[in-house]
Amino acid sequence: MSGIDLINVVKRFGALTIIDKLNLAIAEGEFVVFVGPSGCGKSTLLRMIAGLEEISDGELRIAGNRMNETPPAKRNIAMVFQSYALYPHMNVERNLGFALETARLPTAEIRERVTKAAKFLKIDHLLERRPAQLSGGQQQRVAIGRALVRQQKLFLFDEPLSNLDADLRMEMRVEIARIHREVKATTVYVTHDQMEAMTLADRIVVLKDGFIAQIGTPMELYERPANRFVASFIGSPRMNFLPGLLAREGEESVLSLSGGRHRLAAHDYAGDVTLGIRPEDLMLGGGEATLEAEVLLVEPLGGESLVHLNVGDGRSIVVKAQGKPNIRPGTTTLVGWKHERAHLFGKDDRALLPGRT
Amino acid sequence: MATMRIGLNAMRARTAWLFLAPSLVVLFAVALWPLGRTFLFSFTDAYLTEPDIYDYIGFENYFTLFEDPLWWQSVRNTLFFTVISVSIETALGLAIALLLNAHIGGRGLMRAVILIPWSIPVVVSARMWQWMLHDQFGILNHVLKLMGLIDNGIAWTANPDLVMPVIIAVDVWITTPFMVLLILAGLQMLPRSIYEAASIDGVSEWRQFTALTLPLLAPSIAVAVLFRLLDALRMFDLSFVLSSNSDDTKTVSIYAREVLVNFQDMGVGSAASAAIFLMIAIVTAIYVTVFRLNRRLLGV
Repeated sequence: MSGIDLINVVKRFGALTIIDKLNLAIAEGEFVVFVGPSGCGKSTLLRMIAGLEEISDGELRIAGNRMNETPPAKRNIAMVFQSYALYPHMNVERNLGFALETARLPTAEIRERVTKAAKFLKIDHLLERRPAQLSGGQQQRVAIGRALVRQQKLFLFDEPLSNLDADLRMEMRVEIARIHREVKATTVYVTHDQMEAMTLADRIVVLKDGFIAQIGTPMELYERPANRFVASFIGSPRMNFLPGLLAREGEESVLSLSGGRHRLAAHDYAGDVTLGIRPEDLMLGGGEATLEAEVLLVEPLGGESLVHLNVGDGRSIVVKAQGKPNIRPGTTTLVGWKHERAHLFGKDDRALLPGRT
Repeated sequence: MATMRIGLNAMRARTAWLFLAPSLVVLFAVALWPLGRTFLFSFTDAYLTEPDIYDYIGFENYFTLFEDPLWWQSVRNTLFFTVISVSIETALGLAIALLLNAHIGGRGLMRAVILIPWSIPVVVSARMWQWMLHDQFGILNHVLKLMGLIDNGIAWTANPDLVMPVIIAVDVWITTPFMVLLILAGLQMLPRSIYEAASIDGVSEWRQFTALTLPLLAPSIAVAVLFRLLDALRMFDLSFVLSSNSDDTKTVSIYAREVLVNFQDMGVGSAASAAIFLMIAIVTAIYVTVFRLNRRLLGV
């Protein structure tokens, strides 16, 4: 048992409330990613689980036991830091074995665990080196190795890949996924990169200003964002938003956009709305609903292209199209979508669904 | 006509020499020339009254110096003072630096306050302490009497058993802030995250101190100790003000000045100065070598 329960958890720094009455249950063996923009409280929340920050109010339970007053060392966790936090004066082998050495494990066992972790992370040829003699990616592997050798049931990662370049980030992402698959430890992972969140997580917790904006599997968040914030945060390039008006007309609702009127299934909501459509759900030339648009720019990315369109009132949208569409900037084109791929958000930015307010 | 071409590097080198020249001239005039003259005079029988008239007498002055038991006593005094005062200052400096590095309120003010003893000129502090240590009117004896610990004032700077400890204590008071400052600067360079990692890994505070802080701080401490070592080996003012004529606290610098100025003997005085220079050079060389070896062994 090594699930985590956060019950009405609050974090205050003086008069400033960073996290307010947050509730979250993480199951044993689950890989949960906290994602959100800078300052949303995701790192603070992780550090509260680790015991590096005090919990102002509420309760933290690990494996069912209250942990608020338990020092970090007794929480049976292993943590990987953004800055790696390697001991600069020790070589890789001692860095890996230091915690075990401190715990007075037999030398033979320390050696065995260190060798195993080093092999697993492909750093066994670097054991004699000191951190300063390693590349960023290698240092990160050592930091992960240091967490692995302790064989804890709970892993915490605090933006572990943000100091690496794009290639290494992808490589280490795959590596972390592999480690989770094999070690099966409960993992909490903090990142501001929605791509890492999408690829690694069993469940994603999107945080905004200390609140949970939405919890769900990556595909749930992508397919059914609960609000405009999650809709724009998950997905790249980000979702297009257009203002409109939703009105009830008998057995159906009518959505009025500046470029036309569209009949939809009946919604209970009526009034100002925002229509959201992902670039990959827009089609050039036609669809169930269409708008006329002026082509601003075509960005070929190789296999696909990003087409920037002006849809009137100075509003621009982005379409992700396969290959390189044969259109020129300055010309007019039709852009369309399927109603089932469109998202509607009410005045309070909450997602609207047919038949619900 | 063949034009003369000067390479870019040669031009850069010439500019560099041009800029270096003034400081080299000054360095020669104030450091190398006097040092050379001191070595030169140490092989002559010159007197301060007529320094232009002298003969070379070989190592005669050095024999005189090394046969003088007072010289050897001042060497012992100097080394004793250096080892004890620098040791205490290092330990105390480290302790205070660790305290000031902790996240406690009012530490900004504390950091400023702690520097006061070091910012006072040594002669002034020495006088101040002389008054405080005065056997009849000094505040120290006054307080001790009020507390009923003593009946008669203690002659702190006249008692041969007390004078060296007193001088060491005053030196500790004056120069510990310097140690605190240098060690604190080193402490603040240490990354916070390694301590967080260690606390999660179950490393106790004491082991964090011995296994992380001390080895990482060693270079800072070593440099601070080296500075203090050089300073302490040529200590003059404190001993001169607090106990000017006592043989128990005579340092090599005071010995050299005495021979040179009081006895006007330029030859032996210069030999003593040269010997001090060599002594400091040897101690420094040993220290630096040992430290380098240590670093290599420890892999710091």
